[in-house]
Amino acid sequence: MVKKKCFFGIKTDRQVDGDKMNAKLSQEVLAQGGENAAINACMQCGTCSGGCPNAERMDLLPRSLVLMVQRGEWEKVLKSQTLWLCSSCHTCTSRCPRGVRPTDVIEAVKAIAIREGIKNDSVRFNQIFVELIEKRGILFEPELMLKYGGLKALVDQAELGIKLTLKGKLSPFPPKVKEPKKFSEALTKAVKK
Amino acid sequence: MNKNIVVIGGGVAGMAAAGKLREFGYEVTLIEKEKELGGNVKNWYKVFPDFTDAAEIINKLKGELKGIRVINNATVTQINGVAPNFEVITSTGEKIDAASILVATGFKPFNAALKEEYGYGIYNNSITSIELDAMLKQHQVQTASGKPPQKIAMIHCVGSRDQQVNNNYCSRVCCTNTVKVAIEIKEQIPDCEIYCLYMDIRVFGRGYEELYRTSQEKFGVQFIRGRLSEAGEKTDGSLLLRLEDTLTAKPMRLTVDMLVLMVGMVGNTELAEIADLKVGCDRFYTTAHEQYSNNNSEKKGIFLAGTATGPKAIMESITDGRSAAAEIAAFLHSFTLENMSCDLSFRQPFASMIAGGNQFCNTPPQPSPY
Ligand SMILES: Cc1cc2nc3c(=O)[nH]c(=O)nc-3n(C[C@H](O)[C@H](O)[C@H](O)COP(=O)(O)OP(=O)(O)OC[C@H]3O[C@@H](n4cnc5c(N)ncnc54)[C@H](O)[C@@H]3O)c2cc1C
Ligand code: SF4
Ligand code: SF4
Ligand code: SF4
Repeated sequence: MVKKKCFFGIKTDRQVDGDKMNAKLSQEVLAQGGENAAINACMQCGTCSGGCPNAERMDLLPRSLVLMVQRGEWEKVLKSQTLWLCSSCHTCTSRCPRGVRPTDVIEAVKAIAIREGIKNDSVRFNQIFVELIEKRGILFEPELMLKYGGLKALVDQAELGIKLTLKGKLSPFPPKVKEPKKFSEALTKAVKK
Repeated sequence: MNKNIVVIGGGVAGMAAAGKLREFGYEVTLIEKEKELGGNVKNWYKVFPDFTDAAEIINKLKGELKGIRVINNATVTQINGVAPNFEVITSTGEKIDAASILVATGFKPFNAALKEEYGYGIYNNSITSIELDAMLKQHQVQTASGKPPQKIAMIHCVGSRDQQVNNNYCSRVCCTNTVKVAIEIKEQIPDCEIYCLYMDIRVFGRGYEELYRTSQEKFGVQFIRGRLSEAGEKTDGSLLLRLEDTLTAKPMRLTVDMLVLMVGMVGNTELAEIADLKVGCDRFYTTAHEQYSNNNSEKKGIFLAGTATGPKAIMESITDGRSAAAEIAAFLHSFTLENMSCDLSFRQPFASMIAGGNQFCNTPPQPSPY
C-alpha cells in the first residue's frame, strides 16, 4: 500500500477522517453487479477473513474491504491488492452469517478498478491463461510461467516444478485433452453465449 | 390479617403487579410519587422491538387497575411492624395497613452532564436519548438552530460500563434503543446519516438482533466500534468527535450536527432505609437470591419487582411485576394456612436463601458520588 506523507514525513493515513464517509462506493458496487452483496448487513465478525485461503497475503482482509466499501473509501479499496489476490473461491460468501457476499463485492470492485485503468497483473495473467486454454484445451504450467513471468519465473519455480513432477502432480510434457476439436467447439459456443 | 397490599411505584412493573394482585382478589393500594402513572415508559414514543406505542402499553396496564386505590403525588416515609401486619405511612400523612409490600420504584436515567467530555448541558447539540424520543414523538428532530440534522452520532453506554461514573454494569436496553431510534430518525429524515459509536452491540432479546440487522441492511445505519472520548463544539454549532476506530485501529475524527447520548439506568434506592432493603454494589436493590428468589427482598413480606432490581426492558419488567404478584399471593396464602396450623417449614427459606449478593463487584459497594 502506498503511504502518503506530508512534509515532516508524518504519515497522513494514520488517522481516519470520519467526515469523508459516504455511501457512494457501496451504491456503485451494488450497481456493478453486486446487487445481492448485502454490503450494509456486515457486522464485522471476521468469519470471511478467518476462512480466506489468501488472507495472509492481502493488505485488506475481506472484512476490512467490506468496511471500506461501506464507508466509501475509494482509494483504499481500488488500490488494494486484495482485489487481485482473491481467487473467487466463495469460502467467505458461503460462511457469512449475515448473508454478505464479499466475493461479489470484490468482483464488482475489480470491474470498477479495471475500468479505471488501475494497474494490476491479474488481468494479464488471466488473459494468458485463457489464451493457453484456447490453444491446448488444458493448462501446461511451465508454459504459463514462461509467458507470464519470462525465463526468470520459470527458473524461480523450477524447484517446485521438479518436486511436483517427481510426485506425479505435473507432467513434464504438455498434456492433451482427449478431443481437442470438440473442446474448442464447446469453447467457441460458450464465448458466443 | 388484613388483605391489603401496598405497591410502591406506578411504573409498568408496579402497575402489572397491582393488576394481577387485584385479579387474585386482594385489595391493593398503589402509591405513585408523580401525578401520573406509567413511570419512565410514559415518556417514550414507540418502544423496541416492535414499535408498540408506549401509550398503548400504559393504557393496557391502567385498564387492569379497576378497583385499586391509587394515591398519586405521594411517597412512603415510614414502614412499621412486620409481615403480615405492616403499617405504611405516606408523605401525605396517611396510615395504611398492609399484609405485604411491593417495592417497584424503578430506575433513574443517568445524568449525562456527569460525562463532561461529551458536552451535555454545555453544547446545544449534545442531547440525551430521552430528549430525542420526545423530538421523535413530535416529529421534530432538529438541531438547536432548528434545522433537520444531516449527520447524527449516537453514543452507546453513556453512564454504563464506566468506572469513572461508578457504574460498572450494562444497562441492557440502550443498544436496542439506539437501533430503534436510528430507524425512527431514518424514517423521519431519510437522508440523515447515522453513526452509532459502540463497544459491543448487546441486543439480546427476541427480535432485537433482527432489528439491529434491519437498521443496517434496510436503513444503512453505520456502526463504528469505539467509545467516544470527547466532543468539541465548532463555531457553526456542529460537534467534532474524537474516538478510536478500533476496527481499523486508528484514531478518528468525525463531525456531526447532533450528538445523542444513550443514557443508561441508575438504581433508585431512596427507600433503602425506610423499607430496610439491601443495596448491591451496582446501587440497585439486592434480592434474596439472584437465581431462584429474585422477587423476594431479604426482609420477610417485602417484595421487589422491575428495574428496581437491575436494568430490564419493558416486557421483562411487566413479567417481573406479575411474577412478584404470584410470590406475594403464595406468601399470604401461607399465613392463611398458618391460621389452620399446618406445617410451615416449607415457607421459611429466607435465611438460607440470602447469598452474598453479586460476586462480581468491580468496586466495593459505595453510594453514588453524585
Ligand atoms: C432511554 C430509555 C429508553 C428505553 N426504551 C425502551 C424500549 O423501547 N423498549 C423496552 O422494552 N424498554 C425500554 N426501556 C426500559 C424501560 O423504560 C423500563 O423497562 C421500564 O421503565 C421499567 O419499569 P419500572 O416500573 O421497573 O420502573 P420505572 O419506569 O422507573 O417506574 C418506577 C415508578 O416508581 C415511581 N417511584 C419511584 N420512587 C418512588 C417512591 N419513593 N415512592 C413512590 N413512587 C416512586 C416513579 O415515579 C415511577 O413512576 C428504556 C429505558 C431507557 C432508559
Ligand atoms: S463474514 Fe460477513 S458479516 Fe462477518 S465480517 Fe465478513 S462480510 Fe461481514
Ligand atoms: S472468495 Fe476471495 S475473499 Fe472470499 S475467501 Fe475466497 S479468496 Fe478469500
Ligand atoms: S445495552 Fe449496549 S449501550 Fe447499553 S450499557 Fe449495555 S452495551 Fe452499553
